[in-house]
Amino acid sequence: MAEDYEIKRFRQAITTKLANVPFISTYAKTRGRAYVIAWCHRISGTGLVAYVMLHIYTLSSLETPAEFNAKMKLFSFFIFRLLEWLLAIPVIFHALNGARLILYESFGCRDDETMTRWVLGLSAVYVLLMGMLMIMGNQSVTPLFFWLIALIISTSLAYLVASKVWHSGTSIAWKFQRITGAFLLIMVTAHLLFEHINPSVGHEAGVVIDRIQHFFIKVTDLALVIAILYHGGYGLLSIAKDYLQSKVLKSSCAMLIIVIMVIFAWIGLRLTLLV
Amino acid sequence: MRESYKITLKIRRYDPDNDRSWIQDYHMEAGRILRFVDLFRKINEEQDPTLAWDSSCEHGQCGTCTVKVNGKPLLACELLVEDAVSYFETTIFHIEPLDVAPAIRDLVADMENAYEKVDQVMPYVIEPEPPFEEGNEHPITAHELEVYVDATRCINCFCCASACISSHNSFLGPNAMLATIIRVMDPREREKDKRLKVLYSDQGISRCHSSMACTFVCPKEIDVAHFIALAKEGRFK
Amino acid sequence: MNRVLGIDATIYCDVLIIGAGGAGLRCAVEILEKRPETHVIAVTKVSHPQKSHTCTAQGGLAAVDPRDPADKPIYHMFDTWKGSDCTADQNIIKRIIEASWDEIIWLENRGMHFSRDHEGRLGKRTFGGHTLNFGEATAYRAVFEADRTGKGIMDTVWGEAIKRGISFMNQSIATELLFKGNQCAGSIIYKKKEGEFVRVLSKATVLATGGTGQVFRITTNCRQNTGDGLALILQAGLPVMDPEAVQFHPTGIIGPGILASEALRAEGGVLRNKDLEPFMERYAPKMKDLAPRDVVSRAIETEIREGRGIFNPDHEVSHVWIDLRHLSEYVHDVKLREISGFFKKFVHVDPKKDLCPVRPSNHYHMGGIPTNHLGEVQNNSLEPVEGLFAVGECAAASFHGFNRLATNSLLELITMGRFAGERILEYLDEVSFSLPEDEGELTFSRFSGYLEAKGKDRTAQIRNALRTVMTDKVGVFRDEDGISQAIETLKELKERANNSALSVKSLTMNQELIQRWELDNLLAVSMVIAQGALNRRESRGAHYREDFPERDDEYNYHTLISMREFGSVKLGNRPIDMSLYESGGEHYQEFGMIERRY
Ligand SMILES: Cc1cc2nc3c(=O)[nH]c(=O)nc-3n(C[C@H](O)[C@H](O)[C@H](O)COP(=O)(O)OP(=O)(O)OC[C@H]3O[C@@H](n4cnc5c(N)ncnc54)[C@H](O)[C@@H]3O)c2cc1C
Ligand code: HEM
Ligand code: HEM
Ligand code: SF4
Ligand code: F3S
Ligand code: FES
Repeated sequence: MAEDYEIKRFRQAITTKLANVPFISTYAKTRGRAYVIAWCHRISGTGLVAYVMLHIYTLSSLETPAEFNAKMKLFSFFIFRLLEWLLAIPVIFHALNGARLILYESFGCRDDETMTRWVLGLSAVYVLLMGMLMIMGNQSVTPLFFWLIALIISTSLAYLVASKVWHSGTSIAWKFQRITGAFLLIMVTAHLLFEHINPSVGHEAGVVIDRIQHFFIKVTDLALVIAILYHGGYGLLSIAKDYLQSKVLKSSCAMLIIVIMVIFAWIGLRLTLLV
Repeated sequence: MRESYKITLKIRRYDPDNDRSWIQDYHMEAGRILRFVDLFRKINEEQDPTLAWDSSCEHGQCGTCTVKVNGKPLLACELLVEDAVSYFETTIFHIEPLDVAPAIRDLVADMENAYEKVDQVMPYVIEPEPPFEEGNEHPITAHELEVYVDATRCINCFCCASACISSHNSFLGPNAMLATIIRVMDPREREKDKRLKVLYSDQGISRCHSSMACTFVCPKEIDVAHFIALAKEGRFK
Repeated sequence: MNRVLGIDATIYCDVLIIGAGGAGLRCAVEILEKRPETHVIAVTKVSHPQKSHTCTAQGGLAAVDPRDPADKPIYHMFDTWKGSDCTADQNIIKRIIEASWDEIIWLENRGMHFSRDHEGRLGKRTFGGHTLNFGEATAYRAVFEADRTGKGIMDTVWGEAIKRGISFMNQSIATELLFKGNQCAGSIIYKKKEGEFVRVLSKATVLATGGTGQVFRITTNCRQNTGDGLALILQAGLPVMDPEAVQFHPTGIIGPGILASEALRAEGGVLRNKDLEPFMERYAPKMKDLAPRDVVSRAIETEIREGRGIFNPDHEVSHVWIDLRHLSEYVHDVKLREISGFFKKFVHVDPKKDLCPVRPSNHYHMGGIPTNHLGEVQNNSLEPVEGLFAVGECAAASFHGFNRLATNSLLELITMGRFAGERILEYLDEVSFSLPEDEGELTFSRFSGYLEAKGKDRTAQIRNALRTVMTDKVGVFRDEDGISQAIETLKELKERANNSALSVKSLTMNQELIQRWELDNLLAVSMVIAQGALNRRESRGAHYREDFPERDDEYNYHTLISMREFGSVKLGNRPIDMSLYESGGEHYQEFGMIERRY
């Protein structure tokens, strides 16, 4: 109980802080905290879609390692390093909140207290892990081993969610978004950590190219890129559908998103398979 | 405890005759336990007989008097001056008509128009299950009723629809979802398929992003988001 | 802006329902269920039928369950008769009560969410005045849907009505009944949203416009209950029955006038005046706070009149306190939860720590448009007006006589709604359309009068003056002088009303214009209430004359009042039906002119 109390106090402290931020406080007061969070989820999701597109575009220059390395040089500037680090915020927020939504909607965890505990607990683990990596600096982990574990966990999670949502009357596309969400929960957060195990892992063309020669890593990357593009694409469409009324507009928007996602999937595919 | 407050109401006016919209300030000394409907009445009596607003029961039981006060959709007949001042921490209140339907005049929104979405979900028993014994009630125990009885408290005030993150254009709305969920859960309804079709359609629960604003603003304190989530969970088949 | 007012459209239908509340829609559904091809139009003043006043009714709906071994319909009939202070019509009592359980099942089978017991049967509650075995024991006879029985009925009949293809005209008011000779042929409807006048011609017209509560200052009734139905009837030269029979509830919460139920006093709440004296000890030394409603109402009103009330500056009314502070946590949190919630929500007091402000509040109008057992409206000579029906609170059949029992009103709505529906189905076969003689001249002369009026008076202020004088002089207490003064004041107010100009002359949702029209209705209804009260020199049921505190057999009849011209009334009467007594059947002696003592 004492623990509960601590968490409550901590949460209260956060909400009070939040409630004092000018813009957010109005919405927290008029529509509730969950409404503000829903907007944050939406914004972070859209932001991540944009990032992934940029990311795939950058990665596509792996075909000419010099160009890739030149681009990656940018990241030695402080400001870009900072941005790279800041990226962890939308990633972890969207991932954990997405997990919360899946638990709320599909697993019947309607109790906010428990949810908060989960989110806080997992965030702490993530932050600790990240910090540990950074302190330890150069280290090595077999990518194979790392990704095997990540993939096993992710697939199990995806399977768990799939078996839960499969029998609801929601559309297949909707179900897949939840399933890919569950799959990405570990995959994306792990990806971010992995790429920072030491500086070269994510930023040196040679190291990257070496790694992705392995068949298993190729499979992992492909699973990642397809899941993300599906999930993000459906997310964008879902936002668009909230505002579009006519059937024609809705279908044209769907077509447009599918085309864009297929193009990026193709770029991703090519780079994984060809490099 | 203060006895009265000097307050300012900044009311969004709309004149359909000239299709003109503006914001008008009304300053007044308001007793602490006057409700916002009483303030509107006071404005009509003392300052401006032309201000149009709507109410019916003034008991918080019909959902006619919904307006947005400082952005929050609520029942004007339930909001006391004192509570408003302490909740919003100000004595200046921006008052707008509900945005789920076009305004007719000033604070009167065209609720009839908003109701079309509720009508679409068929808020009645489409095909009743025949009662156990002819001429008797269907046996539903207090326990069975408890599971969905909260949803039946909805008064269609449209606060939830107004607050929802999804736009009103393409979403039938939280209250319409409730109306159909009630009948999905009601053992007396036999026609479930038609209902599930509406529920899971493109305008149905897939437009809900669990922003839970509905639960937050509902003046009847219904956990609307919970009922919608039940549908997502696949409890109804 | 001077506009020539005129009819914008003419619509034909089989049945026109004026007032889409519980009663009106129950009637509509009866017709549509039996004959789906009937074209029924229902008009409502409010933005949507669900916003009708029926949705506020809380407590329950009385009906004797045939499976109940202890309760019998005859006991319910007796309670109603006794409650009415021997002024209800016994043929109506019998008809309604015998049909009551079927109506409950009707509602349940169509999806009303009645509260249940653990075996899955309808739960039942007890209410004041409902007894077993002619007053021997308390009867559990009211089925209910938690604290929202009226809403349950409203939702059910509205749902069934749209399911069966009714056409609604929302935000529209009926301004005039149209006639061809002695036959009603429809009505003029003013559509507030569009600012248009339409002529709806129908074979049958049903008035179901609800109560008249806005005549009084503090009322449990909704803002829309301005007695329009009664005013329409008076305007057509037809009579209103027993208008003086107005019920007050002793403890309405000041401000919104919400009922603070009897339970407060039953659980040990104590009424106190300004000096915190528990004053009921003086008025009813034995029963104290548990004395019957009318005694408590009068006691509170006396305290207020003699200056021992407390003035609330916000709502500008005086009240007394009800003290609940000494009750146990359990009573507060469990038994009185809902009512405590009302005090917190509407007057911001915590009944556990603070005194709660209450005063008598207008609650129900027993009087109304006289009808027979089929819901057909009667004229001055008690013959049915062809094609015109009235049901619900605006009608008086009369089931409630001079005092309504709790939970009997909802029962009346749905049963009389159904009876009228059944009769209309027969009637539709008998008649054909007839074009009315007039085309709304009355409406247009009234409305152009409002639009053209000059003068500085304000409708809102006149309405306030009216509500104050009616509450003070024709409310809980009445006497010859007071009523006469009120009548004079009403005449002055009518003059003032004619000299109040509108600020905006628009026809689109012009609230001031509508309120001006409602004010005329309020004035007309107030006038007949006052005249009825003046004429009845006795006390009966809810009608209490200080100068004649006893019931007097000379007045064993229903008052009929008609008033074509404001202020000049024609009085008549209708005998009380005593068929149960006269039939000499079992227990017939219980249905004589008995005393109303509890
Ligand atoms: C607080 C409260 C609690 C109550 N509790 C109980 C209870 O527990 N049990 C019980 O039996 N009774 C109860 N009653 C009484 C009961 O609710 C009413 O008598 C009943 O609801 C009246 O129903 P109605 O259908 O006649 O009228 P309403 O429901 O008032 O409907 C009237 C309709 O007519 C329309 N209308 C009015 N004028 C016009 C016009 N000029 N043109 C067009 N349309 C018009 C209105 O818009 C509305 O749609 C209670 C009443 C109150 C106030
Ligand atoms: C890391 C694990 C992730 C999880 C658990 C997750 C979960 C979810 C869930 C449950 C939703 C549905 C919310 C709703 O109904 O609106 C969602 C929406 C969305 N996600 Fe993710 N997601 C994850 C990663 C991502 C990534 C990497 C992207 C970017 C490519 C992304 C983009 C989006 C978008 C754009 C939406 C739509 C937001 C909206 O509708 O408001 N998500 N996510
Ligand atoms: C800034 C931190 C990041 C770095 C340095 C980085 C680096 C890389 C690198 C080097 C690859 C090549 C493949 C591999 O190594 O296996 C890659 C692939 C990928 N990354 Fe990242 N990444 C980062 C963040 C992210 C984020 C936040 C996302 C998702 C939201 C993401 C999504 C992907 C995807 C989908 C691929 C696979 C592309 C393909 O196979 O075509 N990355 N990333
Ligand atoms: S769910 Fe609540 S907020 Fe929404 S319409 Fe119903 S009562 Fe109003
Ligand atoms: S506010 Fe809207 S997003 Fe869903 S949870 Fe409620 S319907
Ligand atoms: S007027 Fe009915 S809810 Fe406010």
